[in-house]
Amino acid sequence: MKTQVRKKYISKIGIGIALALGASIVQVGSVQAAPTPTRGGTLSVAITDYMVGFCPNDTNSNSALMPVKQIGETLFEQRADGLVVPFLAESASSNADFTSWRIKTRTGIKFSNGEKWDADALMINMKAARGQLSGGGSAASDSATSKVNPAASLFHGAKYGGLAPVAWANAKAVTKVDDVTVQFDLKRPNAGFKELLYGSGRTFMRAPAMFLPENNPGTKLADINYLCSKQMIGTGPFKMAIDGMSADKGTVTVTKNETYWRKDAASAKLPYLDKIVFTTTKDAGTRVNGLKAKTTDMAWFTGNSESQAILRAQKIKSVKVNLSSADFYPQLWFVENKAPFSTLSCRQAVSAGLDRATFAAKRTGGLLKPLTSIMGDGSPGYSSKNFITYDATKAKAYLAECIKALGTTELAFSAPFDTAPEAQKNGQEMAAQLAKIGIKMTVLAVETSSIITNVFASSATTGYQAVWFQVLEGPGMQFNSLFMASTSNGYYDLSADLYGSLNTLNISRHTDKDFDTLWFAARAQKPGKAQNDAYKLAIERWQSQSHSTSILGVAFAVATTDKIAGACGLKLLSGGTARCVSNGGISLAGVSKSK
Amino acid sequence: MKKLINILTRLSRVALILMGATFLVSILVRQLPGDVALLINPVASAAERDAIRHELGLDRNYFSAYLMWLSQILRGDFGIFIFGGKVFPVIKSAIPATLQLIFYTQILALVIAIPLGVLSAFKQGTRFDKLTSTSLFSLASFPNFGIGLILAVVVGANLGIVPPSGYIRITEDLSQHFKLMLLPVLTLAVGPIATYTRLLRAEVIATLREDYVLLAKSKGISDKRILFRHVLRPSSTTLMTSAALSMGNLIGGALIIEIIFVIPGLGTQLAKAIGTREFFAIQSYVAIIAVFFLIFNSVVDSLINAVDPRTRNRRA
Repeated sequence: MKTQVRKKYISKIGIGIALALGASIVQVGSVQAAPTPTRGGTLSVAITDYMVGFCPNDTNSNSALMPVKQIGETLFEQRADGLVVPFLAESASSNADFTSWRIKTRTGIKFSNGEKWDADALMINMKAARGQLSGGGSAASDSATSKVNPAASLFHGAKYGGLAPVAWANAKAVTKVDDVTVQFDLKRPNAGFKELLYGSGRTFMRAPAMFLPENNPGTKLADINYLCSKQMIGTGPFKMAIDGMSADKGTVTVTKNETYWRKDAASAKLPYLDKIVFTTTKDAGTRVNGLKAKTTDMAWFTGNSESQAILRAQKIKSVKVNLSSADFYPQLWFVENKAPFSTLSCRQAVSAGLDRATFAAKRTGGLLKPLTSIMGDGSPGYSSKNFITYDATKAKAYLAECIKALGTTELAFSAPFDTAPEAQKNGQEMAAQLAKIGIKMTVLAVETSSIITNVFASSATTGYQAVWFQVLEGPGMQFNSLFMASTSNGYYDLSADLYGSLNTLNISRHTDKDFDTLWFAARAQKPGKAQNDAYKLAIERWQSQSHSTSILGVAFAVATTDKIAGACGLKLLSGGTARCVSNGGISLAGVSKSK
Repeated sequence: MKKLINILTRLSRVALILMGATFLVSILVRQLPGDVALLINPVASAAERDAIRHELGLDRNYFSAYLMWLSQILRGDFGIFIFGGKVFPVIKSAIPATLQLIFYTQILALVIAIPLGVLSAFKQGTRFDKLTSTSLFSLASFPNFGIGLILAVVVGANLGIVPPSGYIRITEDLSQHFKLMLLPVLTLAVGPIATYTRLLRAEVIATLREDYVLLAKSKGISDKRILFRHVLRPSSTTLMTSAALSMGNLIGGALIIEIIFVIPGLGTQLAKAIGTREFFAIQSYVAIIAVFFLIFNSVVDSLINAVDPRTRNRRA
């Protein structure tokens, strides 16, 4: 009897274990099987800035890069681990002293208009970027030159202050080797040339049709109406029609590129979405409201001025906030070719007068941390040596020295901040802190796109005395190099390269030859500890001269509602995944939206 | 003949005011700091800068430059953006959104204010009258951007009753269009509702004391008929004038409200143009706003004439 009961129990336990095992297998199976992404649908994305355009010289602000990033792609991509790997390029190789690089283009890729991505396409992109599609830099000379699209050159088209040609000033020659290979010969060695080609995600490869003369309806300033300022044609997962950007450049609509070259993990076609609508929404609170009400699917935020909105979005259960590393470093750049910041002690007074810890607490609610160098500790050039931290007593001493040198009664200056309310509050906080030291700072309200133009105006004409501007970033140094180097030591052969006065990327307009020497010596070295040490020396020199000062390491954020999946998981052909959130937001190739 | 002269006189007055306003703006815009030629081409030589200034008419004196701009406007050319593109397509796309916002606001404000004003006057001194006055003036004392932000957060984001921001054309999706316009219209309407109610209340109280109203009452005509047929019409002159004048204020208010609710109207464009120092665009936007302001006022003048024969006689 007892045996029968035991057997009964054992069999019951056995059934129980079997059921539990079965259930667990089913459960494991369901966990392992990736949910099939929903195909179709329209994604509504709110960004901060207005578009400028799509020409190589159109310097879109960070959030305005996000629409461009969905249409155009870059030769290289930055991985989540910071490594720059081939993307539209298949490979990159250099000679021993890094003065010659060969880039092979990936095969089997077409632009959304059907044109082939190959060495010819790369060549025309490089010509445009180097200003060589221009007739010479003036409206009159461009107008007189046939078969040239001035919009593709530096100073004409939708925007007149361009970065691209200066970035390529170190290129002595760019030549086509074969159908898939282009060779770059450099004047000075550059071990990190791939990173320069990545260009902080800004060196998009455009379809040759964007530069053709038949798309150039005229060159009169009064009739600026070029194709490349209105429509982007790239190899990316989405494409846009010529009327895809609204007249006020506040809305960009893109649709699925049916011939996109990348596939998902199951080798199925990408992208999943049918359409994306990007809308400029200046107010961060409005973006959060849209996410909460689910009328906006995705929204961009910059930690620099919109930390409170990020913190608010993080508290909403149905919203996921993808935050980048805080490795973007806005600076207060002191413009040194005019008073008051031509005087070192004036720069030092402001640097010592900024209470970074209080700023971080008040303006970011602790989301971002104060810096102890012009760059964060994730940067290869990080060094806190010579960085002037907050010290009211020292600031007042520097101020006294500054006023004496200036021969005035006060240190007064103005600096532009974006018109967005939170950006203005950042400026007001800095002004309030400096006022305690006795420094008068006037906060100007200017649209970022306009600030960019003025910042990169010629050295003689930039109207600002100081500017709060974010271009420095980690974990590499190539992009930073463009904005920190002075041209005063003749490093760029300007008369031969371009139009004669292009030191426009040198935001602080410094003439610090010692810094340049240290900087370029570092850039020529093979990546590694020795190179990092060399960069540190250059940064220490920069900090000793207070060419700029920083406050916070900034993160960017892209927040999504719970309807959105696949924001950051798409694998790269070169292995790994791309950095999830960069200054250009998120790639939407692998994003889907549930119904 | 007299009518024609009247119309011509009015039109010429409108044209003169318009020219005065735009001329003043053209002078003010030219005072903004920054050399447009250098903004267009930062590395231009002195000769090239002169050429740019000449092409844009910046080398002319105030009168000559203004006449050049005026002749362009009359030919339908609203100028260019310094940073690329023509101004007219932006104006064309922005006007409908702003006009819709203003018209919907005006309609909502009048629909609420007229019955409230008349009833408050009729029930003068009662709890209803006091409650209406206090509530409306408490609301009107809030800045409208504050009301907008509260409505967007509470009604839009937290309660999810209507979308907190955005704009869609009426032709694209009628129901979504009105859902999106509800909060900005409510926000803008709060101020006018309070003002109109108060004005109408005062006028109605005065009219109720007129002899003909007492006569109507003695004849046994119902209160409703007296109020809405015999009192409202003569009492609405001030309300209509105020409504016309408030169109200008509404355009100003729309500037902030459009930004909060992401409506791509003239206000948003004007704010953007100021931020980017788009001199020609600012001038053209202001001209458009001035034109609308004058049109609204002229229309209301004519309406007042039609509604209240006494004003017609006075002007005649």
